[in-house]
Amino acid sequence: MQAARVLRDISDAGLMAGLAAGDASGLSVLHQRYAKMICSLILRLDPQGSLEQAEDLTQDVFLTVFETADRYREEGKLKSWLCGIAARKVRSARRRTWSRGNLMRSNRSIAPGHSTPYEAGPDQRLGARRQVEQALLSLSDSQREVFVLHTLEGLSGEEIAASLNIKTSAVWVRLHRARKTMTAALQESATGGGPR
Amino acid sequence: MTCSLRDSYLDETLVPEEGARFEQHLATCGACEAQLRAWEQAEAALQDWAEERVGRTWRSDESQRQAELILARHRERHGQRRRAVVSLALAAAASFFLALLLFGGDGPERGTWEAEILYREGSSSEISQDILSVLGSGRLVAQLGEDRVGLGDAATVRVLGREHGNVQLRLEQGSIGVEAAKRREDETLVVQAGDFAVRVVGTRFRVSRPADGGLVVAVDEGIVEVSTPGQRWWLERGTTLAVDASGTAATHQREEVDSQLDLLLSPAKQVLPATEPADVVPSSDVAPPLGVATPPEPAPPASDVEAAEPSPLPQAPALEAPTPVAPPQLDLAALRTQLAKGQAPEVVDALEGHLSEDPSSVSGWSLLATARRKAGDPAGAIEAHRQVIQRGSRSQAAKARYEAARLLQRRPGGHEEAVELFEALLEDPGALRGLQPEIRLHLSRSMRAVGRSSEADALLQELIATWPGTAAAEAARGELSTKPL
Repeated sequence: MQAARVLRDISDAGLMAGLAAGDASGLSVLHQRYAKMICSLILRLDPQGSLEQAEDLTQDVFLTVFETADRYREEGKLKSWLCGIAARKVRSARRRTWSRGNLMRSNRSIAPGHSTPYEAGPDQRLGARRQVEQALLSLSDSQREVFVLHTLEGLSGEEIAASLNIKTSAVWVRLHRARKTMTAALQESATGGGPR
Repeated sequence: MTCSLRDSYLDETLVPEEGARFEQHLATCGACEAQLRAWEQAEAALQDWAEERVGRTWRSDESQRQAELILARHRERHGQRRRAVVSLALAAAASFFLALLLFGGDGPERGTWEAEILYREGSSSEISQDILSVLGSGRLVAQLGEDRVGLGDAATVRVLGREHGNVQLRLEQGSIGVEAAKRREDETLVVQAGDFAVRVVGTRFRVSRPADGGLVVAVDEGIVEVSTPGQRWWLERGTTLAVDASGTAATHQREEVDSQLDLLLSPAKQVLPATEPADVVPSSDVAPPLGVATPPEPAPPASDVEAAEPSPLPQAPALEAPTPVAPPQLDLAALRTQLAKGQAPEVVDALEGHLSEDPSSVSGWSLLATARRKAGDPAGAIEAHRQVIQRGSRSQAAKARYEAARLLQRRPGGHEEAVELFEALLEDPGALRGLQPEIRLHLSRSMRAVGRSSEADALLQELIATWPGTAAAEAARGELSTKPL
């Protein structure tokens, strides 16, 4: 147990260097540090996804981390790198779901048995949640990624650009459009024009 | 025109003058004011939603299980079976030995085990199927398959076994550098050396057996695990561990690469100096014994937090050095020694001179902070810590925040900034894991000083509940019980 205790004190960069050298012993520590953040991000990037799906994708993220650790560059924050991987996982999962024809994104409502990480709350709360989800779903995938990473995960424009491999200027453009769309969608739903 | 600043204002990317200009504009522009209010409402709804949309928390044993599942999936994908990591077996072995294990990546070519001599220098050397040896003064660099081994003065390496990518070497005496190729997961490179058990995962490291016993391991890439039965250290890149014949150990962080390792492995460079660099000579006066390495250390008083490179490992204080080696540039080890001898003003001068030319050395700034503090210049020390916060890694910055905050607490009007720095540390608990109780204790004192007493109390209660039995919790109890009602 002593080794594990010491391992927990190793920096992200040190653990990543170990993974890059083929030493998997740091993987569980990285998982412990970041799995909840990644799982939350996935739930927010895929507003109608279930907790079970998010957990599966979280595991996929860490598999990619292990297999591509040698591509990680220390100058970037690990969190940004992980967010980029998670965003790509969500996007590709959504593509798979689309291709199976299972995702009826527009006008889809949350069924009573819908699997979410939280218990169904009072109607009013559920309504507010649904409004936000619908507003988020009104964004394009690329807008939603930038929007969630900036507004909810607190990444800077530069970090988002690095994690999604896009230009910083593109981050700001997408963010502005997303913010406008979100504001309008939430206002509309609040005044009764939202989806039913 | 000012309306166009609205998005940048929301992004908090305006310079202060522009921000002030926009806020003046906001008072007179209904459209902007309405947009901002709409966004604030939207953001509040979004934050509420996000707070419910939180992923699950994995316990550490669940994370361990997840890691195993991930590795199983990886093996499945690559059609490989992986051997159990042998480190535990090594640690449990009756006799100590040094083991260097490497795995992962694509495997090297098989069957290319004839040692190819890349460079030879000095009196004479012995090369056979099983032994590489430098007799007397000299050097030898050999390629063993995909791995490179460099031998220094009077070094002898015996090849105990080799089968595909599995290699077992024994360092009989002297120093060797190893640059090991990436291997398949089920292949390892093992080096035994004397009476110590070390597991190394990485690609570039040096192992030396000093003539009077003991061991030195310097890591330039990857991670090294050093173990004796029941004890382990993990050495990150840039760390040197020295254990003397009595078992006394010291670790030291280097900013530079290990110069001896570089010399051992590079054919074109000069012969090694015969002596170990001063900064890795273990000293029984200052180094912690082997047995204290792995348990979490009690947090030191802030004034004693050494301003060396941060390390998850027990840090040895600056070590006395009989014959310091002078690297070409900033010799931090020598300066630490000088500082330990009480020559703080001289160290400040030397560091300020160097950092004005080359401000990129984070360790230099960190040492300057310590030196300035010892020289009676807390304001200068805080300034140097700010440089570390700005330039350093997450853990370097965290350490600097803590140090700077402690210094600020002792300065008139310093509590406001101290609160900010401590709060930043609370947001990143992983960075200074061992000081979490102390951070709360000190933060509570600064909070009280700036009139945030109820938050201070809450912090102390959290501290007592989370870290019962610590000195900080005891102090917190006292402060809670004595505070005026």
